[in-house]
Amino acid sequence: MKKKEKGSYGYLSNLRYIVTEQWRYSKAYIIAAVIYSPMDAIAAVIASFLPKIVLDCIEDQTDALQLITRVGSATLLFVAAKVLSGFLNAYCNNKRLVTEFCYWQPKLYEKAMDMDYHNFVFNSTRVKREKARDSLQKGNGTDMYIEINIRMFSAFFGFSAFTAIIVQCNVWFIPVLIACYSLSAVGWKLLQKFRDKLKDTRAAAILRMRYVSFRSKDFSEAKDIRVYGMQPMLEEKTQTHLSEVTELLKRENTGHLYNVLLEDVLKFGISLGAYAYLIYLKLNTDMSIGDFALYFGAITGFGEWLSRLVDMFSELLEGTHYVSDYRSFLDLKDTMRKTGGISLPSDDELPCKIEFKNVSFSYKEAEKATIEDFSLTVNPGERVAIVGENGAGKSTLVKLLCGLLLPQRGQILINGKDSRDFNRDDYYRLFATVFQTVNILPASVAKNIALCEEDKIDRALLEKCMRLANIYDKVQSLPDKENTLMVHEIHEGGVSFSGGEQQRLLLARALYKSYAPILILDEPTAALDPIAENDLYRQYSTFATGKTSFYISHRLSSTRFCDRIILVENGKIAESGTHNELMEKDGKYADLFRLQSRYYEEVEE
Amino acid sequence: MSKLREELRLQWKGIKLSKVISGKYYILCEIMSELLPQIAAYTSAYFSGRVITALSEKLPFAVPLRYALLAVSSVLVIWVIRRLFMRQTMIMRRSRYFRREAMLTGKALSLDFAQAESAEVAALLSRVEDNSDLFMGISSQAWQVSKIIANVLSVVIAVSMSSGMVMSKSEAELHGILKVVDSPVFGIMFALFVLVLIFLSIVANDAAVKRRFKAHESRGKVNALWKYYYDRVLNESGSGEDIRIYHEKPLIYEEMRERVFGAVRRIHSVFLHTDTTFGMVSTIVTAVLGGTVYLFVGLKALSGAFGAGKVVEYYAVLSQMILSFTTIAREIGLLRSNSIHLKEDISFFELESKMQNGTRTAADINTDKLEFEFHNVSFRYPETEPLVLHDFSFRIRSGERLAVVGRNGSGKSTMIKLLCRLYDPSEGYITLNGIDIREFEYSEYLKLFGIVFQDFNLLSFSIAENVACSTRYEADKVWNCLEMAGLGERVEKMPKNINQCVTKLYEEDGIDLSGGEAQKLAIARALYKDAPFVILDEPTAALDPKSESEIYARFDEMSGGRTAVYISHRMSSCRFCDRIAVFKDGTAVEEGTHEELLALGAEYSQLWNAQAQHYTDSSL
Repeated sequence: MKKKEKGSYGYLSNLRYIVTEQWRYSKAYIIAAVIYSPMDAIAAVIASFLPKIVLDCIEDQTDALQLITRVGSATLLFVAAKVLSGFLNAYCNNKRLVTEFCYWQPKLYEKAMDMDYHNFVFNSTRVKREKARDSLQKGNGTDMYIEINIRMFSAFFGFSAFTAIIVQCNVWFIPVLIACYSLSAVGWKLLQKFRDKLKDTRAAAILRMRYVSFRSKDFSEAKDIRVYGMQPMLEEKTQTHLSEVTELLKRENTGHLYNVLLEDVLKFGISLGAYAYLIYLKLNTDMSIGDFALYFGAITGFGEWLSRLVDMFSELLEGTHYVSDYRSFLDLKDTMRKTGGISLPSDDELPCKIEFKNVSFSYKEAEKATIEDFSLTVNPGERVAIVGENGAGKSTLVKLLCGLLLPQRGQILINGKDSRDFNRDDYYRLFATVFQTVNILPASVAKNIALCEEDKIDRALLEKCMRLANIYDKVQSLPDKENTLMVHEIHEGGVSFSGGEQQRLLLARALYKSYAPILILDEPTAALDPIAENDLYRQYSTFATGKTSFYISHRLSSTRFCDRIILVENGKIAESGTHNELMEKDGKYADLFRLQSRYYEEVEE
Repeated sequence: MSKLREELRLQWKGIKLSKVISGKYYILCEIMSELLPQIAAYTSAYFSGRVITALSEKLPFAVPLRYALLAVSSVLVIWVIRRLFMRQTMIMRRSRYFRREAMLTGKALSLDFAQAESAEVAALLSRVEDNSDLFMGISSQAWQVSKIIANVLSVVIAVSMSSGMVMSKSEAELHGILKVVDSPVFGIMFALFVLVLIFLSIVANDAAVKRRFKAHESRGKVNALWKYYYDRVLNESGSGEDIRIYHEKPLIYEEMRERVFGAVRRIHSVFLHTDTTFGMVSTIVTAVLGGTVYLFVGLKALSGAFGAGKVVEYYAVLSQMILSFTTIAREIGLLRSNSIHLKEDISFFELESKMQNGTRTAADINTDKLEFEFHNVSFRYPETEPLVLHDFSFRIRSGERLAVVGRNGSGKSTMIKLLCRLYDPSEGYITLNGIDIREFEYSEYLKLFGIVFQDFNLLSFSIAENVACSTRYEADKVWNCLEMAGLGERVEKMPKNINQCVTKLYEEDGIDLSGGEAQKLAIARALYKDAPFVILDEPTAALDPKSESEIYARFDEMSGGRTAVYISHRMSSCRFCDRIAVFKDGTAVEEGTHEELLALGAEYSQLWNAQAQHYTDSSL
C-alpha cells in the first residue's frame, strides 16, 4: 500500500505538479529561473578561458595592447554574465520566499481546515501534516523544488560545456571521470538510504523535544510547573531528547564523513592523473602552456560540475520525497460529500426534526464502541437536555450530529433526509454550537464573535448578541471596544479574557449564528458564578426559540427548562422523559438528581 | 571609545555563551572549516605554479610531476583534516537549534511566575525565539566571528605570498606600455585600485546588510502570528470543530491576507531591492577585480618581471585574497547589525529571579498548626490598573475546611496566587503563623501546598509522571492517589496502566482523557504531594453529578487533618465546610456558617438562592 502511494509521486509527476502550481501563482518566477539556469555555466566557461588567454599571450610574447584587448573583452563578458546571474538569482529568491509564505504554506493550512474532521483528528493525519509542514522547512523541500531543479540544469550546462572542452584534449577522460564520480554517487545513495531510515526516529524525537519546550515556555502552564516543582522533570526530558537528537546527528554526519573522504581521494587520483597526462602531452607535443592550464582547469573543474550534478541529483531525490510528503497530505481523500447534495431545509421546514437511527460509532483506537445502536427522535423545536457521566458519549453524540464524525453504522436524519446526502459545508450551517474547548483567534473581539470577514459583520446583530451573552459591558470597557484585538501575546495591547468571559464570548458566537436552526450548548456555564448561571437559564428559552436545541450539562438543575431529558450511559439511552416523569420513575436520573440536590434540599428541612 | 569597549564586551559575552550553546570548540572548528580550504588553495597555487615553471623551462618529466604530486597531495591532506573539523562543525551547527531550545526551556523554567507571565518577558522571549528561527543573535554571532578570524588569517597568508609581485621589476630593456607597467608607481596604483574597489564593496555591503536586517526584524512579528495559527488554531484538534461549524476559513484567510501576506511581500521586496542595488556592487567588484588582476599579472609577466608559473600562482593567491576581503567586509557588516539581537539574547539569558527569597527553612514551620493571615492586602496585576484585591484582611485557621464563594472576578483565585506567592501583594503582607511569608525559603514554602488550579494543566507525559511530577515515583503511592481521586479503575483498564501517556502529543499511543478524568488526575497530583494545606479551585466544574458527589464525599478523607480551602461556584460545596467566606469586589464581605450567612440575607443568600431554587422549587 505504502509503496504504491510513493510510486504515484515520481520525479516527473512532482515536477509537473510544482511547476503547474507555481505557474498559477507566479509565471515570472519560472521564466526568470529558466533564463537563470545557464548563467553560472557561461560565467564559468569564460573564467576558465581567462588563464589560457593570458598564458598564450605571454608564451607568444604578443604586444601589451593585444593582451589588454583580449583580457579586457573577456572580463567585460564575465562581468555581464555575473550581473545578469546576480539579478536573476535575487529575483528568483524573492519569488521563492514569497511563494512559500503566500502559497505553499497557506495551501497546507487550507487543507487542514478543509479536510473532513474525522480524518483530521486521526493520528496518522497528524503525522502526515507534520511531514508536509516539514517539507517546507528543508533546504531542498517543496518550496525549493524549482530552485533545485534549476541548480541541476545549471550543473548540467556546466557539465556539458566542460565536457566539450575536455573532448578537445582526450575523449577518454570523460568515461574515466564519470566512472570515478559514480563511485562516489553510490556512497551518497547509501547515505541517503541510511538517512531515510533515521528520518522517522528523528522526527519523533524532535516532535517530543518541541512539545517539552513549548509547554515549558507556555505561560498557561507556568503555575502548575512552579507549584508542583516540575522543573527538574522537564529539564531531564529536554536533556534526554537533546541527546537523542544529537546522537542521530552524529551518526548521520559520520556517514557523511566517509562519503566526502572517498570523494577527496577520488579527486586526488583524478588531479594527479590529469597532471601526469598533461605534463606528458606538453613535453611530447606542441601543446601550449595556455592549453595545459585550460585543460587542467577543465578536468578538475569538470569534477566540480559533475559532483554538483550528482549532489543536485541526490538533493532532488530527497526533495522529491519531500514534495511527495507535501502532496500526500494535500491528497488525503475526504469521504464526505463536498459538491452537490440536497438543499438545506427551507424556512417553512424549520425547526428541524432530527432522528438518530441505530447509530454506532467507535474511535479507531478505542476497543469499545463509544456510541452503540443509538436511536432517538427529536421533534421540531424540542429542547433536549443530555445528561450522563463523564465519558458516556455525550460529546461524541453531538459531533456525530454536527457531521464532524461519521457513524460507522446507522444514519442520522434531518427532516427525514440522510445527513450524508447534504453538502458537507452546507450541513454545518444548520448548527450553532458551544463546545467545551475555547478557541480564540488573534483577531478583533468582533471577528471572534462573528467569525466572518470584517465587511460581513452585522454590527446590530453583534451588539444584540453581546448583550444577550452578558459580555457587552466588558467589551465596551476595552480600549477599542469590539475592535480590540485579542491574545496579548501576539498583539501589543491585545486583550485576554478570563474563563467566565471566554464562556460568554463563546455563547455570543453561537447566538450570532442566528440563522442556524439547531442550537447545541455543551456545558456552557461551568465557569460562571451562580448568578450568571441563573441568568443564562432564564434566558435559555429566548435563545432556543424557533430552534431545535440540545443542552449538555452536569448541572441537573439546567434540565428543568428542557422539554425532554436524555440520560446517556455507555453510548446508549438509559432513560428518557421530562424531569417529573423521570423523578417519578425513580431510576438512575432520579438518583443523580437527588445526589446533586441533596445539599440544597437539606436547607428546606 | 567606551562605546567600542561596550560593543566588545557584548561580543565577548556572546562568544562565551556560544560555547554553551554550540559547544566548547565550536569557534575553533568553524575557523578551521573556513580557513583550511583557503590554505589548500594557496599550497595548490604555489605548487601548480612550479609545475608550469618547470614545463616552460622544459625540465624532464619527473620534475613537473614531482611538483604536481606535491600540489595534489597537500590538498588531499589539508582537506582530510578539514573534513574532520567539518564533521564536528556540522554536528554543532545542526544541534545548536536544539541546544538553544533546551537552554531557553531551562531559562524559562527558572523564571518567577510573575516574570513568566509578564508581557515584557513574553515579548523578549518571542524576540529571542525569532532570533533563533531567523538565525540571528547568538546563533549567528560566533559563526560571523570565526569567519572574520579565518579570513583575516587568510589575507595575511595571501599578502605574504604575493607581496613580492607588486614591486617586482624586469631586467629587460622595455618600451611603451610595458615600461609603464614595470615602474613601481604602476604596482602601487594597481594596489590602490584594488583597495578602492574593495572599500566600495565594503560600503555597499554595509548599506545592504543594514537594510536587510531592518526588514528581517519585521519578519519576527509575522512569524509569531504564523506560529500561533499553526500551534493553536490548526494543530489542536480542539479548534478543528469550530473552524468547520462556523466556516471560519474566510475569516482566517482575511486575517492572513491582512497581517501576513502583505507584510511578507513588503519585506521581501526590500530584500529584492537591496540585493539588486547595493548587493550587486560586490558582485561587480569581484568580477571586475578578477579580470584586472589577470591583466596586471599578465602585463607584468609580459614585461618579463616573472614567468608563466608565477602568473598562475599570483592569480590564484590574489583572487583568494579578494574573496577573503569581501567575506570580511560582509561579516563585519552582519556582526554589527546583529549586535542588537545579540543584546536581546544575552539579556534574556541574564534574566534573574526578582523574587525576594527568605532564609527560613522547613524547620521554622510548624506543620501541625498552619495559620495564614492577610493583612490589609491590596493587589493589582502587573501593568494593569484595577485593584483585584482591595484592603483585604482575612485569616485561614489551622485545620479548618473553608469554602470560598463569590461572583466571577471577586478575587477568589487571586487570593490563592498570592498565598503561594506566584505574586506578591502590591500593598500589605501575608503571614504564616505570624511570620511574613517572604521570609521563608521559597522552595520549602511551596511544599506546604497541594493546589488544584481552576485552569490546571496536565502534561502529555505518563499518568505516573503527571501524578508524581517527576520521572521517579513510587508506583504504590501513585495508585493510591489515583484511587483516592476516583481514577483508579479507569487507569487499570488502560493498556499501559500508569505508564500510559495522556493525549497523543508526546507519545503516539497516548490516551485522551475527558475533562472530568483530567480533573481527577489533577486532584491525584495534589494528593501525591502530601501537603499539609490543600486548595481546590473549582474542582468539580467539569464533573458529572456522581463524580462531583464522590469528590464531596472524599473531600473529608482527602483533607484529613489538613487545612483545606474549597473554592467553587457550586454552592452545595458550602455544606461540608466548617466555615464559608464570601468575596465581593476584592474583599471578604461575609464570613460564617451556612445558616448564619443565609440568615444574614445578603450576598451569600443571593448566590445560594440563585442556584438552590432549581433543585428545590418544584414549580419551576
